[in-house]
Amino acid sequence: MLRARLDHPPARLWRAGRQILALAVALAAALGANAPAATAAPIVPESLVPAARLAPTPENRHMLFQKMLADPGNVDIALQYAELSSQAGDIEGAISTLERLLIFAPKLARLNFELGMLYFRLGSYDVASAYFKSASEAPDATPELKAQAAAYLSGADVQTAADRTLGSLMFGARYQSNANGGAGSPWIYLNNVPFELNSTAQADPDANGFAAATMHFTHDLQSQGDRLDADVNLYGSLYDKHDELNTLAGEVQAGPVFNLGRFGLSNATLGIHGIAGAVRLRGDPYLYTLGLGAVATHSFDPLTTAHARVDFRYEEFMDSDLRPDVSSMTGGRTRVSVDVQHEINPILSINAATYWERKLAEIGQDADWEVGVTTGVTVRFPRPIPLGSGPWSADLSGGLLERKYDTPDPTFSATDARHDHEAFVQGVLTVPIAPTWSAIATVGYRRALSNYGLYTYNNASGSLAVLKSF
Amino acid sequence: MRSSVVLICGLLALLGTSGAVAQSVGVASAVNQSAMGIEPSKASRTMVIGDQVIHNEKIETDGKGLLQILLADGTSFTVGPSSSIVIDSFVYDPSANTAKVVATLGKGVFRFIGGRTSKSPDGAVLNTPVGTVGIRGGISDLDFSGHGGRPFHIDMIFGDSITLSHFGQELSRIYQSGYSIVLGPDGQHFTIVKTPPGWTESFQHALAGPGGQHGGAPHNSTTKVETAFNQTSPAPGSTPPGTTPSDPTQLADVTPPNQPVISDTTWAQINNSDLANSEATYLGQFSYTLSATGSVVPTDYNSFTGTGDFGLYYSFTEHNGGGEATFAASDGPGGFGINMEVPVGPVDANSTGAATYSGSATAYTNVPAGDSYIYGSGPFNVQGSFNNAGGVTAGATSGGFDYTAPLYQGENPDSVGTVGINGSFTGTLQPKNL
Repeated sequence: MLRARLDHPPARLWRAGRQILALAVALAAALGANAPAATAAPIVPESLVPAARLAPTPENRHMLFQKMLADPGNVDIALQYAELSSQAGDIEGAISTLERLLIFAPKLARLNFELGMLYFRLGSYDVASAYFKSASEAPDATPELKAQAAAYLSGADVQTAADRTLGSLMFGARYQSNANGGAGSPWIYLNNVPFELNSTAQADPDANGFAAATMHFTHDLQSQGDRLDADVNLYGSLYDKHDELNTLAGEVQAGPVFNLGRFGLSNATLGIHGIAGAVRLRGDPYLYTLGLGAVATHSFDPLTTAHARVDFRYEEFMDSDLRPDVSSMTGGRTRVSVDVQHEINPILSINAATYWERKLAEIGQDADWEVGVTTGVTVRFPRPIPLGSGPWSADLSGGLLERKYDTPDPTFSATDARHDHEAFVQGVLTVPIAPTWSAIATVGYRRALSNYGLYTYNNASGSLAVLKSF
Repeated sequence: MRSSVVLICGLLALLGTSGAVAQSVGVASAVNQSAMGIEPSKASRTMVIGDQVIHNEKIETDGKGLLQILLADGTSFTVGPSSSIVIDSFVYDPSANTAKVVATLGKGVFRFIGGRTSKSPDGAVLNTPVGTVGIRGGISDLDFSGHGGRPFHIDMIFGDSITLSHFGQELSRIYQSGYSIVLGPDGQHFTIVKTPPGWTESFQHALAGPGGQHGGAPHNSTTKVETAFNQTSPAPGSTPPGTTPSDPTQLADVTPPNQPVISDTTWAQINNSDLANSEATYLGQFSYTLSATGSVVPTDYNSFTGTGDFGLYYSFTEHNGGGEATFAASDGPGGFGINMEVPVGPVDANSTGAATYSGSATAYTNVPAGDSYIYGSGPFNVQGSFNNAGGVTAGATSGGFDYTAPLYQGENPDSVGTVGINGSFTGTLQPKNL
């Protein structure tokens, strides 16, 4: 049993899969289905800004507004004010101004289209649809504008449908310099006695193919924003050499989401969900999960959203011939996390998250506390080479975590419990290659330090994948 | 005591001959006739664009009337046909960034877009035929017309909440965009439903107004709107949008140049291999350095003329799948027109004016990807005039501009790069009445 524990440290086996799956979920959410990205679209196109550009400062907006009050028939001032308002995030101000221009000239396709874009950005999809239809039916609508309007109409239809399903499929290959998470040194100390690890417990590179699938289903309960959500995430991997790492995993979360507007909390929801999951390693049952969770979401403004989440999972680990003692890790895992995303502009977004986790187990040496922080930035940019169908995006993220176990593992130390520190960085390049297809390249590096030498390791990885969103 | 000034009604206007002070609560920012204003104890008046809306003035529209009222905090009411509204009170404190409006809506259709009022606690209170409506943070449609067999309803287009109450008792409340409070057939009870799409479309049509009217704006303003939003096929000889500010800002000896705006639509036109007969209009507005020598002209009407060169260029890393770019023009083989109006003045505090730049250029074709090219160049003429009331000197004028803009990705995803326009000129400032 000791031999098995040293040869196949179990705690990190599923981690690589979780990382890939999290990436797939994030990418699927970011890429969406076919719905146009409202925030990426210009509010008032640059071509409509008639005069010298002004910064969207409160002073400039105030100056223009005063001019507009004094001369409401002045189109130039109105266009400038609309543009600055949209830049400053005052979309209602931009709408009010452009709807005034619509009174001046009501049958213009482009003006109706721009108003549709503004309402789309606000999330007022019904009004946006009405404007897009007006734009398409206008006498001066060009085929290009009709096509754009049709795309946004389709996006609005998706957003207003009672039942919506988004999902993704991801296939790829990954190389890791330390696929098995093996110790960086063949020698470790067990109770201050040098011990030479078996080669299977030492770092070993390997390549694997993987597939990940995500599905998000929403049913509108027709009660002012309440809905039922269900998420299904699947992951599988096949390794070239380390077949003991071959993974098949899945998790389902489902439950109602309530609009907290009923309590006077605007732009906030609270979701409660059940959790069920399973993991098999090399075909052997490894882990079964049942749990409950809750997530509160609040949008501070159209560009800033935060989540607070608490999940409890009861995890039952299953012994197998290869891992005969993992059942001692069985117990509850409680995780509390907070994250926030902010879109600085259509090009640049940032995010940050922190979490606290408590893992209980049958024996103290498998129970731990863990805290971590991550942060990242996403940059969207024009494709630098003629490849792909749209702007590329690059994500750079990094994080730190600390993990401390309850009691010493007598195999390693009679007095000191295990204490880990980890750091990682990851870069992801996403290249849209077709409207619903993306190529994804990932590189990452993880460094783990532990007072138990078995758990000190490095791992550099790179992967290439294709993601289909639907 | 706080030093900030509480703006009651935003503006004060002295109206009439009796010396009575009437409070203006806003301005009629668009009017399709007819809309009538009826001040208390006064004869009715026909509202026109720019009119001040007076406290407690009842405004009514006829079957074709359409009106937008703009308040000093940015709140606006769009009032549809056969509708009536009274702004009972409006208080705006810019220093505290709070505002409150109380209005009475009669029959008809209305769109409310909140400025500071809807962001302030109890800032937007609308007395309606079905009760008192409080709006928090956003946009609301209110339909009390009964047209089309639709029941009276209040729609939350965007925002935090809408409450309907009667004598302080809350009757109904919406907290999700896309929902409506609907008066039941018994006229007593209310339900909350998802806003039917047909209601929204009917509202759009009612508030956009029919064709053939222009909201009371000057006809050239309407043309500007049409041109601004119809750049893919600008009317021959039409003025590019936004190039004739009616209120020019200071421009004398201004550097650096303002940036001309290069239309994404224009770029999509010229970088299309199948646009042999299309037009390209560059919209630009820039300032220039005016240096003058010679005698001082104390006052009078002045003009200036000049000539210069300009270049149109772009640099791209790829386009049309990496092949060759081609563009053609309407001004004859290999040429395209440039028509820019440039605001001039005031060259001093008392001067105003405008100038027009026009020119033509020869276009190049078949430029390989990855290269930077001057795509066209040619002479242009500049003519302008200004009312010199403050001592501008006669003599030479000179100026220049240079602006580069990124290509608009959405219009032509196969093209990545920049497009620019630059130029310079020299000219003579010509006092008319020396």
